[in-house]
Amino acid sequence: MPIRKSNSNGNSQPVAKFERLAKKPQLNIIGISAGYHDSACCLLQDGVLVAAVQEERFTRVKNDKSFPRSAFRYCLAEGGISISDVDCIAYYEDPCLKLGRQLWMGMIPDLPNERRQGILDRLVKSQPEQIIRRLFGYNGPIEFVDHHLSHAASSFFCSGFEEAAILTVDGVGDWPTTSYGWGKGSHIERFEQVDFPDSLGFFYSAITGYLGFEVNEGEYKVMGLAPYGEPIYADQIRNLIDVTSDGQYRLNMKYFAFLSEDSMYTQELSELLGEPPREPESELRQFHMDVARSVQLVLEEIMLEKTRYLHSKVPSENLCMAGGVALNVVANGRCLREGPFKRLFVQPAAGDAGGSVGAAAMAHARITGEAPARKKLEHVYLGPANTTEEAYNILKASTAKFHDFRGKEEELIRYTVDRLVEGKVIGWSHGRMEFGPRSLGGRSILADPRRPEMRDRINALVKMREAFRPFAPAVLESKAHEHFDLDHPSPFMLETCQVISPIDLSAITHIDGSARVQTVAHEANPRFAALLEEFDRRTGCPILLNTSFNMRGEPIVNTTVDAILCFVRSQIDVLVVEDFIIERAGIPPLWDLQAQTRVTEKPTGGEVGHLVYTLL
Amino acid sequence: MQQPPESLKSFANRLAKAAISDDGNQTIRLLRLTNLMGSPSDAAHSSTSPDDVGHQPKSSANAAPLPANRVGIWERKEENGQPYFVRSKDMLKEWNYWANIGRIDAKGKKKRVVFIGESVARGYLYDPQFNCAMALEKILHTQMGIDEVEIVDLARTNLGFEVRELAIAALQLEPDFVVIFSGNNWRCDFPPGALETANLDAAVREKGAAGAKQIAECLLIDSVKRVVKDVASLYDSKEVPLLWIIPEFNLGDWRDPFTNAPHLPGDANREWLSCCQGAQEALETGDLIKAAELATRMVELDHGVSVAEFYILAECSRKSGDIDATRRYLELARDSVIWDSSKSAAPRTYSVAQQTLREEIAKHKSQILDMPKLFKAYLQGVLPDRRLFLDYCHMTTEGIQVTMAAVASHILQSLKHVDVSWTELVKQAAAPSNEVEAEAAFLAAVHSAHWWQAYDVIHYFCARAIQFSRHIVDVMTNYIDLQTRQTPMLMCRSAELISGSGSPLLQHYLLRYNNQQLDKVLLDAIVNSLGEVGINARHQLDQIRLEEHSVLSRETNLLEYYYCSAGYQPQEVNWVLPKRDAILPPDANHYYKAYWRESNFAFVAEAGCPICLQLSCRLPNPATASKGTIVLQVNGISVGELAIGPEWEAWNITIPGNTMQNDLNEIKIQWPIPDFPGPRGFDLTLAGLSERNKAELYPVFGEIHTLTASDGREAQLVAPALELELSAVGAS
Repeated sequence: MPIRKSNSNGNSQPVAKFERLAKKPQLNIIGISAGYHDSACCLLQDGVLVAAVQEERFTRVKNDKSFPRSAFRYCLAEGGISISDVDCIAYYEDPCLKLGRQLWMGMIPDLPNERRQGILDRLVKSQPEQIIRRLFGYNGPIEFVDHHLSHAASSFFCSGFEEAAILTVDGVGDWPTTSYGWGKGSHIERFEQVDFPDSLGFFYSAITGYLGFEVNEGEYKVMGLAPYGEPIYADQIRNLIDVTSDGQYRLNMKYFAFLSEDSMYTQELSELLGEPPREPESELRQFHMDVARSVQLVLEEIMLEKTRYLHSKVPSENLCMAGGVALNVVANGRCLREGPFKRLFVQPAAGDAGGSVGAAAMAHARITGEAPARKKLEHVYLGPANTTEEAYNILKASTAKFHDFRGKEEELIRYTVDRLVEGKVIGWSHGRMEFGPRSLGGRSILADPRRPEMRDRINALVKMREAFRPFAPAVLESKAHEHFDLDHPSPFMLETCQVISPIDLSAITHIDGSARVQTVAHEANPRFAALLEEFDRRTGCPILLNTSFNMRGEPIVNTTVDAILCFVRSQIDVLVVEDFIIERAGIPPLWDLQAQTRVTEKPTGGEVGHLVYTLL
Repeated sequence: MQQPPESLKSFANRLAKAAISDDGNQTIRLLRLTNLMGSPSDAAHSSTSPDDVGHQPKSSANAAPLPANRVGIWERKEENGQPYFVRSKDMLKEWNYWANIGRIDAKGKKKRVVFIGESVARGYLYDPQFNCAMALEKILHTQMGIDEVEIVDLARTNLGFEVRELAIAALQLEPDFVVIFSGNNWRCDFPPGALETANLDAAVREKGAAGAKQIAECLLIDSVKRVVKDVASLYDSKEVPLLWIIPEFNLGDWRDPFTNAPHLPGDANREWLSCCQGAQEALETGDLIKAAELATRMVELDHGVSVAEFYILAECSRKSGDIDATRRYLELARDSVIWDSSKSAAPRTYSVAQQTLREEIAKHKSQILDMPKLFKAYLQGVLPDRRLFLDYCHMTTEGIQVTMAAVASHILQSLKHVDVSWTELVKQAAAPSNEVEAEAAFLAAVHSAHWWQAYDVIHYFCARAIQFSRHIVDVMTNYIDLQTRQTPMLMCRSAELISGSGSPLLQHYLLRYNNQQLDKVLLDAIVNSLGEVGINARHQLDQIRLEEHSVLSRETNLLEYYYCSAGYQPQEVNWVLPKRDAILPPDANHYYKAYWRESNFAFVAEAGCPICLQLSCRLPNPATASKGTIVLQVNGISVGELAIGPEWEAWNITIPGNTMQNDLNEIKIQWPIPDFPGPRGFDLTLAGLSERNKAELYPVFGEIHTLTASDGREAQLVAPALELELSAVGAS
């Protein structure tokens, strides 16, 4: 009922116009993964993925497992909706199944008391539903999608395939560690699974831990180390796992300690391989490389065999994969090359973060009876965008010396290429941030791939990481085939192939002649593509070394301030942030103090341990 | 490795299903709380960082063995057969908390006085330019000579009950006299450890927050007793003279923010609110009797667990000229927050800790310096205030001088067997330069503002800073700049200019610990203080605010800490505190909750320009709440009402331009009086105790998920809108 506000004199007072906003017409589904590793949130609007981001990018806690409260707010803002517009929140696990698995672990005879207490503590912890209600103030429906169904949906519904076989492989979620199934239209069916504690993920992670790398984090280092070795320990490693009929396999538990200890492996593993575990950060010897090669080979053999088994049950031409093990691009490549499937789609955020997308997609299918948008996922620029205005405000309030290229993108590109040609390492932050573990030209460190010294330089001065690890190339999609043995786009850096380029690309070519390629199309990232084009025009090389924009142990940068502070702390030569360029000489003295303040902030409770999977 | 039988998997699943059900979960939590199902593991409950205050002391029987070669951060070394102590590089991160002493030499011929304490003892906001140890040393040197006595300063910021370990370890330094100046960080974790949670559950159900207060006091008394017993007994046996200083609190000036009463039985919350409002109105009109009656009724209703009633009673007493009653009520106000960890109370020494210290120390040979008595004597009965304190407990130069004079008097009696009155010694004390005084005063203004103190106190310290030294003017103008920028503080040009001054105080306290926020009260106080000496900084402030924060330039989230903090409602800000200061667990509510009848927000706009608010809000307790009407005020003018319910609803609100003013504008949302849940309100709190969640003990009036402000010119359909009927109640 309209009213007129009057004061005591009867005069009209200013009145506001109130408009109650009707619920937005779209079907808004929030997907959440949390509590274990890489928590994330996404928004699916009428089946279209409009936003997705890991919580670590906001909290700056690597692999943050805490519920994604900032990511949730970002998704609402990106979708232009409020909490009252959310139709459903989908959670990527079945808490009851997970608790069942945890309780089962507590039934081990003679379990150390501390471990048993930890399991009992799980009983009194808030369950995800309680946390979702409390944290977000959300009273609407919640869909629980079990862990491997979330993985399966995250891949199939983003693949663009009308039908496909689906293989999910990871460490563990609730009970399954591997699942076999198929998808058709809006329907996903699974027909077989391998349950905890038998796990291909744990198999690989145990060796990761044995080799002195962080469990659930350093697996890709093992994959990168493998080409330096020979598979002379493959027979020993086959003792760790008994590959049985159909889709099944069993771990030989005498080599695995994760059920009762804070370690992935037992002393017997050391005895089997004849050497004690490698101390973290200690020298990497040929033995370690040989072990890495051996475990990689065994994994590939098993994956290939199980892929063939899956094809025997689901004779499709298409294969969808997800789960942490699906990030092993070398194994994926072999499955595609030597296996029965013709096409492979791997969810770019194949780990638990991507489970949020799968949960939301599955909820969409349950609610509507239809598949989410049938279009293939074209890009993963699904995170927050920074603006030129923000960057300018930051820079103008400081004494930083910077180049202003607002309205002059071509000049910015040319200037950046000049620096690349000079051999400079570039921090590159533009537009929306990538979802998932890979930097794909939104938040990247870039360099000239033709310079042999570049790998060591970036490893030692910027990434502070092991020298053996290869860097990946970003290449113009239109010219990819001239330099790589690749006959299709690879926009997500999820495939390896042989380098066939006439150019010496030593900085991005692994010891076995392979590279993990990202193909760049104008439609997906115009500025990044323009940079590659200009570099090609100047050098005849349409390729740049592209690695994630972060320091060791930190999440990839998100905001402009994150990018600047990472630039300050590292030895990156030049920062390109939106329309501005800063060089090291332009860094004000106090920025270093601000950068240090950032890294010494107190913990949030979302930190993830890396001795063993956080099974509890 | 053994693994459970496969056959148990389905059993485990059934068990999980039962455990996850509401009843099952509740039962398990209760069993866990009472230790009938194993006690919660420490790892699951260790939510506090080593730097947090308020650790409970370990008893002597349970304490971990102390390293025999370390005192605080200093580790023992030997040189020519002589022991000395240097700061351990392993504890580099800790150095900043401790007195800036690189090396403690082997004891020589000088009498050695070891000075142990917390930030008060460190001379917070003066240190390292000036501190208690310096003041004490200067006095002692005038009485004993430079070659006769030395002070070893072991003060540590945030020192809590760890004072026990430090005092015991300090005996390695072969002291001739030890001073312990500690107690402001003595507060027990709440909720307490696993063993006490069942007691707490029972006490809260029986007596409400008063039960929690009782338990908190008992725990504190036990802890203080243990510290005194362990330390004093050891010192007695070693015959090392020990002086305990019982700290005082800034009763005269420090005011905790007003908060509502926690959940009360029946309809007592409604009556309490009514009394509170009535008492404040009576106080304003000078009806002290009525105000006191109503405040007394508030005490009856909540059993003295809120500051509001005691501040009203204290004000009544002050206006009546009854200084003793004023002191008593202010002490009760200070003590009333002991149970409440849902908000961050400034450090303080509670009455029960003071009294327990007095009683327990008397059982030993230790001496006592009772600061409340000392200051009372020094001020001739006047309440201790800004003259002696920079904030809640940290002292001004004068406070330090008086206290250290009294300490010196004890030391001289013990080491020289001479009686020299502290009143004589206070004249001998050292004092910092005017530049240091100016910086400390300005830092006190910033610190007080960020602890929600009133304009009067903040302005006092700003003006005092300028009086001491004009060099602070540049610091203030640069502070206005860095505090108003969106650019992170240390990336601002103005921070560089402050840093370039070379002041260790500004470097440490201002550039290290400041949080950028809108700071309406503080920046007003700075601008006005500068104006009083002929410097116009208003234009600078207005201009930067407009450039950086005008909602006409960009949509502004008023729930961000920067803006939300300008509402001066600390409970409402807890959920968005910067990570460094966070007190809530990461899975606590991540939206705004109003704990008072009104919610205040601030934003920057321009006169004449309409703005658009996006508001998503609801009434609390979705299960029980019904519809209610909220009233919206802009800059003190009521601009409309809207009916809301217990479900989230989103509103687009266009505020007419003629209610807008240049620079800061204020929005006030008046919430309806809710259906108070009474003791049922404690249920969720108690259920959360098994996870050691912070207690949510207060009624909620309303909740906001989104509140943004943006340019409303496009949204304004008709201009001017005043003559049209555009407002609606419950429009949909």
